[in-house]
Amino acid sequence: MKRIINTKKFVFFLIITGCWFQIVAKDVTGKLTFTKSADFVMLAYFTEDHSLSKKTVQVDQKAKKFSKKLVVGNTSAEVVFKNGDSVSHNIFAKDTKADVTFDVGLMSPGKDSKIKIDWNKDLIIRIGCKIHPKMRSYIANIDSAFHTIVELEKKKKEVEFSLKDVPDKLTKLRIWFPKYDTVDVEIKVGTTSEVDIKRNGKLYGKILLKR
Amino acid sequence: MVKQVFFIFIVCVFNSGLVFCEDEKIGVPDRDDIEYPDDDAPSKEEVQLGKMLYFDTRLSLKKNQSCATCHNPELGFGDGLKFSLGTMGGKVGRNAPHIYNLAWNSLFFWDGRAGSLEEQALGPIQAAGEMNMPLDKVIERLKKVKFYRDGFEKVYKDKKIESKNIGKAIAAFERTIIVDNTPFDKYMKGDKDAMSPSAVNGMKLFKGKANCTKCHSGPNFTDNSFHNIGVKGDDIGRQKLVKDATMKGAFKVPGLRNVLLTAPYMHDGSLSTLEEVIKFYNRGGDNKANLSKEMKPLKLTDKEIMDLVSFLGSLTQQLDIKRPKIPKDD
Ligand SMILES: [Cu+2]
Repeated sequence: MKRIINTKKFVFFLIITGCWFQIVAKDVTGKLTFTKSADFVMLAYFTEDHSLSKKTVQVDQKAKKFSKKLVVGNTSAEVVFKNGDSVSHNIFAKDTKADVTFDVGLMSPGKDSKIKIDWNKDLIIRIGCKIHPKMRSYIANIDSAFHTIVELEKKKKEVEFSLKDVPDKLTKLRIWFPKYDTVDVEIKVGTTSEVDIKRNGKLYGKILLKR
Repeated sequence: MVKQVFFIFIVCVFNSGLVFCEDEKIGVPDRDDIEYPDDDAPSKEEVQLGKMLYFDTRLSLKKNQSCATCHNPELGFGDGLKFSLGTMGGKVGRNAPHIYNLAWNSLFFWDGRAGSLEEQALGPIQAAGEMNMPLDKVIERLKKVKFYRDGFEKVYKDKKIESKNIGKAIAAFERTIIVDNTPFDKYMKGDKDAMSPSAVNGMKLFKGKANCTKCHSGPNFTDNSFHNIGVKGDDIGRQKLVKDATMKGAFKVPGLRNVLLTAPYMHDGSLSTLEEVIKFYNRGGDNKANLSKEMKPLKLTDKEIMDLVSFLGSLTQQLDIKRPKIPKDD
């Protein structure tokens, strides 16, 4: 009697796992585990792809925060800044590493302004507000259509993410954080990989990848 | 089913509203939100070490001043003066800011020139007009004291009495100066009798007609922004660091917890009472040149001014900071 139930369970298990494989076969899934507080945002993208083509990217401002923690666009795409807030803002960038400087000036509520992504590919710049120094967001110049942006919260130490329908030929994944070292990892179909989240040689977490 | 969908819809709308207004809201500070350097809260020993340094006059050239001289716990962590006195007897250029709830703060000094509390702590020690004490001389003095020799060895990996660690220790102590159990906090946690009716009305005005939360928002009543609010004088403030016209005469928005205890007010200590401060905002500031866009006359009545002062009073909580016994050279 017991044996029959176990067999049934086993068959059920096979069906479930079979379905799971069919659904996620082309997906790359990942799990971030931070040992201390989580970072601000994460960007993961397959570096071999160059099919992304965006005309405009939009960033709004509300309640003294940027509406997005990170946006992506390829070279020459336009970034439109909006001010949907009740107070004035002044967006600027002064990224010495990427050699990017701009200042869109004072923006009253309801106003907008724009800039062009004209810095080198694979560089991610930080933008801020001159009036509210706590405000920050990032703009990445990437041209990979196979990317994912995960907005992180300090207290959420475990976060799952996925990249959908990734062609098998793409295997080189780059994972970027504002605070931690960038990770480059090779992930082929049917494999798993575990990489460290580090800064100054110190361990701050792990990334588990599955394909 | 329809009901369920409607319920989910309502929940979504409600939640998205909360997310958007998060920063505008005033409330009780969350100790879990403090960003400690490298994420770790300091040890008891480090706080103790920092507290001793904070109260030790060895940190000033003439051994007549400690951090606590201008940031005195009995005077709302200020000194009650318009401008503080330095170790040599001269006056400092700006009013001494209080140090309540700086654990949540991001930029320091009135013009925001320090990016961390660790960096800030070392500034006044070396400033000629303040404690006028070169750091190597501080270190030399501290090395003569067993308490410090033992303390630094125990707390820091490199075991060294050096400027970096002095800054760390003082910052660790300062991050423990927390005001989060005021009548306002009790009210927010459900004790609706904790605040007077006048203060409750003042809170409504604070968020509404008086426009205060345009800058004094968040659990510590500051959004850490920089504004020119129209105080007379030629101090360029933030513009010294950020070369922008809007930053001329702009200063950091101070947190308002225990504001009642921190008189006199403004970066130049030019206003002595909270009533004067509210009246200053009511007339939209005194110097209209380069005035922040958020400043405008408020048309508050005398009763409304009184209610706002009542509300600010409800942000008061006396902290019991015991002065340590300063060790002798040995
Ligand atoms: Cu802003």
